[in-house]
Amino acid sequence: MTLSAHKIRSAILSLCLVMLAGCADYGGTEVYMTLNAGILSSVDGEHFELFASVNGSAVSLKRFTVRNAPSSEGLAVKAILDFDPPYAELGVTDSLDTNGLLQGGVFFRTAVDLTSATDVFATVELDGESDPAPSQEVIFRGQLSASTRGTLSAILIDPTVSSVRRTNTELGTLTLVFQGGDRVGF
Amino acid sequence: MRRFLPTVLAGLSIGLFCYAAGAQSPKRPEPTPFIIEFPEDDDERVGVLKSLVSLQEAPAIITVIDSEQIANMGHRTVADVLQTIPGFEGDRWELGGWFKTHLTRGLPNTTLILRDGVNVVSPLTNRLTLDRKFALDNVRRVEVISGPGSVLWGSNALLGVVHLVTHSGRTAPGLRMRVGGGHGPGELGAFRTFTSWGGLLADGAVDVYLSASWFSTMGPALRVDQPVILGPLPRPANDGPSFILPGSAVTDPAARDHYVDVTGRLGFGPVSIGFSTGWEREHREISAIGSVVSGDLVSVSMDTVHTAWIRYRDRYDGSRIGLNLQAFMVHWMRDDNPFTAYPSSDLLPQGGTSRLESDGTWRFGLTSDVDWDLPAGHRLLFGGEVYGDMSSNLLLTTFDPLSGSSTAENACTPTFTYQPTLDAQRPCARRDIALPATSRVTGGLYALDEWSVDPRLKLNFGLRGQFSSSYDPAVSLSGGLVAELHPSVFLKAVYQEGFRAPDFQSTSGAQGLASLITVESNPELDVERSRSAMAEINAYLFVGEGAVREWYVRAGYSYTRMDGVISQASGRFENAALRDIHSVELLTRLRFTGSHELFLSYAYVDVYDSEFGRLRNIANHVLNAGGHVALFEGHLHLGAVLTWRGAMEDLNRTRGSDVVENFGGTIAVPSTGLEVTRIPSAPLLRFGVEGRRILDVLDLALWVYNALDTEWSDADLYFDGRIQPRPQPKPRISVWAEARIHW
Repeated sequence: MTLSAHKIRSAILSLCLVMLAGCADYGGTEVYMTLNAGILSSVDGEHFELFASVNGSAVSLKRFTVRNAPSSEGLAVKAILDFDPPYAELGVTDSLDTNGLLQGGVFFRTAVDLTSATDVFATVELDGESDPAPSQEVIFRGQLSASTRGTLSAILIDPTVSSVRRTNTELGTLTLVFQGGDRVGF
Repeated sequence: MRRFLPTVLAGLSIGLFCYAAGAQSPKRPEPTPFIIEFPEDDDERVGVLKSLVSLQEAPAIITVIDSEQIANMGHRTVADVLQTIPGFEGDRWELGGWFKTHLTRGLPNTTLILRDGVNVVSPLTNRLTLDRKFALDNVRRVEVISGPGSVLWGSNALLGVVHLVTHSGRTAPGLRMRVGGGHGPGELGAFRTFTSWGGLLADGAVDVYLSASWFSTMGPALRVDQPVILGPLPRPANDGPSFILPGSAVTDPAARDHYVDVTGRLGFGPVSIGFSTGWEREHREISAIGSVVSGDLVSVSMDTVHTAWIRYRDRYDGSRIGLNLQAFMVHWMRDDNPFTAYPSSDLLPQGGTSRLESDGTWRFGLTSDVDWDLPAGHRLLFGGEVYGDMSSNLLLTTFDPLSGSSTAENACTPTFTYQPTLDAQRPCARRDIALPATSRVTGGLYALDEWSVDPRLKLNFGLRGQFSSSYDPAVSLSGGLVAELHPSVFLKAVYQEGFRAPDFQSTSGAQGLASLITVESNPELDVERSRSAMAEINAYLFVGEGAVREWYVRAGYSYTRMDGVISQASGRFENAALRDIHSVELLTRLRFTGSHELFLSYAYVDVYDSEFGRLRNIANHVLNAGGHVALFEGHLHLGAVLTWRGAMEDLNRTRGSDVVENFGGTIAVPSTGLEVTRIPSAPLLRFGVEGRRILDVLDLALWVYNALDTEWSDADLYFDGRIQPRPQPKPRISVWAEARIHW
């Protein structure tokens, strides 16, 4: 069998077309938080919801509850639990573990691209409510800034504390790490 | 357009050398089996392909590095060899250098490593460190398949196969002795001896090879930019702050590493017997979390693999039928003391240590392979394997970090008991079985048909079924074509599947222990799978034209889909992740008369993970360029290799974050104190000068490694700032001098 020039060119062209196939884009963000034990615990019938402001709109990141953790976890520990299935534990508040060592941290991933986020805030929401907009009851808020490479970070402040009489209470910290993105390059 | 640039370049390269090939008058009459390049292998087959076939026509992307190239390029370890093969990145360090792995198309532990046909990847961890435990002097050649290879080889061949073929008495005859030493920040106070004897006895009926080697080093001096003294355990344990010291620290090795290897081979007629054993003591100067421990603790680790095999190989019916039977035993030993190490500090007065030890892991097995030349241009390969894996109890001893030599018997921290015989300085300890004794039996059957449709077109199709007592049956397929587009120009289009069985630590590990083993094991894990479509075009150009012996050029593209990848994201090992891999690989080797040569390899890889997105902790680009010249009738050799490893990113905790706090002389960095560190590209140059055949028996060599003294580091393999919170520093410049005698 002789391979004609036409067939050779067709094979090479097909090869080039396969090689030039586009690559899928993966967005998404990793969310890291620390919350001190002073954060409100959830009451029955309510949960908290974390939002980010992106291009002027509030985008929901996570619904969660805050519950007292078992004593086996350490002293005065509160657990942050996902409000949605599989109701996983997302982390714990800052505390001491049973060995007397510092612990604390919350982590989850979201498919939302937050590279344009300007601030984050969490609100109290009623269970079963269908309105996706955030309520007016804000438990903490933080202004995002690019303090380190590849991240946006915020100090989470209790907005209900008056700055005239007392210092704003820091309730925790938050850092966003962006997935996907461009290739690193040579 | 920029994102498509690597594939466009590959496409243009294909076009260019097709044009060049078309402009050449064909000098190479018919593709000759590459096996002829190794005349001593007349009665053998290409190990990694189990058949007699040329590199150009092999239904796989294959690279072969022989012992001459190993010497000419100054390779020290198998990892050095892999570094120069497109698609592979040798010698990536993880957990403070505790694991030294290699990447295949951007991913670790995805390559099957064979030694004389025996799988030497541990079933306990699916890992094998390609360090000084394998003396390269024993290696006759390294055969590498880029891409999955499970139809022929079964488990672990997810993205590649590396086959180490050791010498025999025929291939390394006579007495060889080597002694050398070196020094520099990259390798302090190193020395090495190697001796082998090979030959034919009983009028050539018996082939004997025996070798012993000893390499010793104090290790590298490594600068840790932000030393961590305490940090949290992996998920699903609760997170917590990392405590980082102000300033940087440089390791100060306190103990000498030793690697001893004894390898032998005996052949008589169709039967051959081989063994390899060794002993190792390695001391890590950086703990798994990034602490500099060399001034405080002396860690002792051992990670050895011992093999023994017996093989029957013969041909029948006028060589139309070949039979290969091999029985083997492999024993892996691991002992880490300490396994985890936190240096002593105000936070942990006694430091924090644990020890991991076991009687090891065993594998016993039998493989059989038949190749049969059938009518109508068919060559059938078929065979099977059966083997059993057994692992003894893996014991984890954790020492109470809050107790010391003066601690009373009843004063240990809860869950620890008073056991001063284990360590008088740390008398409170607990012992747990980190991994109970476990075992499994595995068997597989395969068949592969290679059909020469005509002299210029070959088709192949293969199938394997793998069965195990601990995972569901796995079926793998392969297929493809090899077409001679033009004399000396070949096109390969290949589809290959691979799989990897889950390792024992993910199926049987015990959760809830004090050190680093916090992820819940899952006995229901299934195999991880890969499916790869690959295309390659290769050519021999300018063969015999003037001073050029030949110019070999190869370019290829592959798309690989991995599914069922074992993930820990949920706090339990699950077959949960997916990966898409695009890779472009270029290799060219220009050989001149007088044994001069130049080579260039380039690989581009892009990996998308369903959990992590695009992987940024790998080098998207790796370039290797090198050469070798022989002057003065071969008495003077000059060699050089430049590896340019592209940039990568690493997620790290940093004391430069706004959210840190001073804490008792350290800086407490919470889980939000993160940065995406850019690890710049690293140019790594080695060059050497050798005087050869001095008085006909003596070679003298001088090599400089990392001659540009590049300060470089590795990103951790999981893009995680929690466990390995800083980049892993790598060795800097070192010099090596060696004398070699061969009678």
